[in-house]
Amino acid sequence: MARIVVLGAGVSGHTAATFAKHWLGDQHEVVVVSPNSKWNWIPSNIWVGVGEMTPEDVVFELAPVYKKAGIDFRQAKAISIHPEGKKESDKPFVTIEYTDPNKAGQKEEIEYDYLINATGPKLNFAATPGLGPDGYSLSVCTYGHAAEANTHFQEAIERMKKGEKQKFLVGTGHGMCTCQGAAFEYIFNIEHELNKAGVRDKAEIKWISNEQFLGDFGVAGLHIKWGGHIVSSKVLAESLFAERGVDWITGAHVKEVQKGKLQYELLDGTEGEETFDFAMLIPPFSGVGLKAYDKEGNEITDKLFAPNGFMKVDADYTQKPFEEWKASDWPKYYQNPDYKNIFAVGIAFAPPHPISKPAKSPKGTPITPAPPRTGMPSGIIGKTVARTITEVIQGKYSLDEVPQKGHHASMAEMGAACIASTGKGLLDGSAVALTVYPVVPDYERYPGTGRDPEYTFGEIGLAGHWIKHLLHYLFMWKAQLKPGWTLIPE
Amino acid sequence: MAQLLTYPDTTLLQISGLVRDFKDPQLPGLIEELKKTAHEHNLKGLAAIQIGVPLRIIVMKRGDGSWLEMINPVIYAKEGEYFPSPESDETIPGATLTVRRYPVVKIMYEDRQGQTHYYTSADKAEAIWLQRKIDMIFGGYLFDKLDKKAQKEFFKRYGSYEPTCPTSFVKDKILAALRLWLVFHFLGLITTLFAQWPRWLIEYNLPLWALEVGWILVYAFYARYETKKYRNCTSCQNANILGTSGLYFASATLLLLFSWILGKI
Repeated sequence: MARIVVLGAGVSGHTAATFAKHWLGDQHEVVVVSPNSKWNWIPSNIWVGVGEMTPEDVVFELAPVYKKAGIDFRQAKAISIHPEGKKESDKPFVTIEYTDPNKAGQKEEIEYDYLINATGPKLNFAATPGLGPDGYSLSVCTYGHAAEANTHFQEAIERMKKGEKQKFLVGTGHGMCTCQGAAFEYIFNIEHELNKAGVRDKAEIKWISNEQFLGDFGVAGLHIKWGGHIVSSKVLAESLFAERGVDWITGAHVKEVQKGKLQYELLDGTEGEETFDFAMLIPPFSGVGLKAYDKEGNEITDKLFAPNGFMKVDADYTQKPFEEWKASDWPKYYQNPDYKNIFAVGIAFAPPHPISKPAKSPKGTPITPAPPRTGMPSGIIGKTVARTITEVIQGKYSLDEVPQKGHHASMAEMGAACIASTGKGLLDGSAVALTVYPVVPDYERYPGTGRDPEYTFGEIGLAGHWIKHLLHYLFMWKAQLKPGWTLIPE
Repeated sequence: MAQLLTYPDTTLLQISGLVRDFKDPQLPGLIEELKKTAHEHNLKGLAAIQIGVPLRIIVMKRGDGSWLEMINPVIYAKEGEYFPSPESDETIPGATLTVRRYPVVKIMYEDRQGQTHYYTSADKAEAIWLQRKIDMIFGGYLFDKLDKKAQKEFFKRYGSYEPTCPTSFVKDKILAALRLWLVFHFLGLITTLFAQWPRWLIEYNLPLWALEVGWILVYAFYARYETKKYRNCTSCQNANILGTSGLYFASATLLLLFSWILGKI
């Protein structure tokens, strides 16, 4: 009997664990270690952040779902990986510390045959002084943060109803952030809700982000069918911001957030200050801080992890200038090069470089969006790795043969769709569906933009809004392993 | 002198790619060609895509007569309020369209050696020109900035780059026929409560459902084909096709369920 241990139960970890168990059945063991007792459909946190959904609508308890699936669930956080075992045993293991209220603080070693690191990101609020719910800005990255953002949002609406003016600042809280799409969706939901509440005239809404141009979204722009032909999201975003009366600042690294104001540095090195009554700023991500040790107990964290804390996989991490970046730099199998039975999926794997062209201010401050690895790519990668490990366990090939025979899911070979919806009503909402293929530009296959214009089908309208609704219910259904869950794509 | 492309040339309408190779021996020649072409056409400057080269390069003659060569330019900041700006451009000869622009834009770009520079527009006219040309390298033209109604009028007046919208679509006819059949199917099922002759609707409920689903698939595939054929027609949206197919699928399935319930009575 083989044991797969999955660290993390987000989109990629949950997908990997559930599919591995589904394919392997009861002959093999799947253990999931996650500090959270609940699963969260993160894209819908945006609706929690404006009060259109409650936190309960976007989460469910993991324990009963895993019990039904036959997955061993440990509500605990992973602390360290010991890929060579310890002096007394060659068996690799991870150490965990329970967050389960019944066993809180207890530590345990869990041996594994195969390890999938799907720990997701640490929300690195500390990177910018004053950033985050413990500082002076809000977040929608977790359902708890989103609920808190909504409390402040409703208070702001009340103040506006009494005639007060309010300034809303939404975007990214650091020069190296990702997830611009979530902030983009949030700002237009805020705008929509303020209109609905009849207080739009009392609000000043402003976007602040680390994108080099409006509509970059951290992926060097997406494509949309607009006016009958394909245009960059730059053109769409500028029109949308103007049409909705939303002002913007791009190319900004937020240096510090204080009560009611923040300081930023622009791409040209100039500095500025913005005041706000309400600020929702996405933090930068980093690895969760897992440590690794060899057989003798010496720390080998640097061997397994990149300096940003994300796990090294089969990517080309050689430092190269932008003009030499290739699609083949991106990982295909998500297998650690030193310990072949360790894989990293979703945000947990270290990308070889950003997707957008890197930029630094003349003062040397990097202002470049980090590559997104969330949502659809995350799910696909999780499922692909589960398929590979399943086949290794079934004896179809060995771990050493994974680079030849394993299943692959390079982000330079997959497309991504981003549906940003405003409003939640079935008739009064609107959504913009932006797409790109591939996510990571392949300049060799598609000279020029690196993207295939034929596989672009972005739209704007009510239908996209319905799709967003549909996705919420479909993915909540799928993640709860309800009938037909395996048929729903990632 | 290179030929200037004009609307509705489809080469003009693509998104230009980033210049990545600054050692490309053709790069200086291309920039010189752009300057020469702009000069001979008595233009303030040009975007490379205007001569059919899909690379993010813009050349602009400044007030003092010197040329500014901008490779991979992006607008990273702006100042002032958006204002309506009536504009014409050599890409759409004879048209003057009112779009909205910022009075000041700040641009980050690279030179021939790949070194980064920053430039702030010298005046309002230059800011407008730069915004228009940078839009072009991202695949955006004046008509893209119009609202749907104004855009439709533009296509009517200046022609479309693709077949014009037909007055009726085949996909709509397929859908109308399906709608009619579904109404008949529903009424037929109701009639089974009083008469025996439409009982075959209950007896063959599964094949009928399969027929209806097949019909929806024919609609979806044909609609997709028409969407590709008439890209500029507002009614042709992939998401709408998906949504419509979904709704009809749900209706057909409800009818199946209804016949099954009737069969049990």
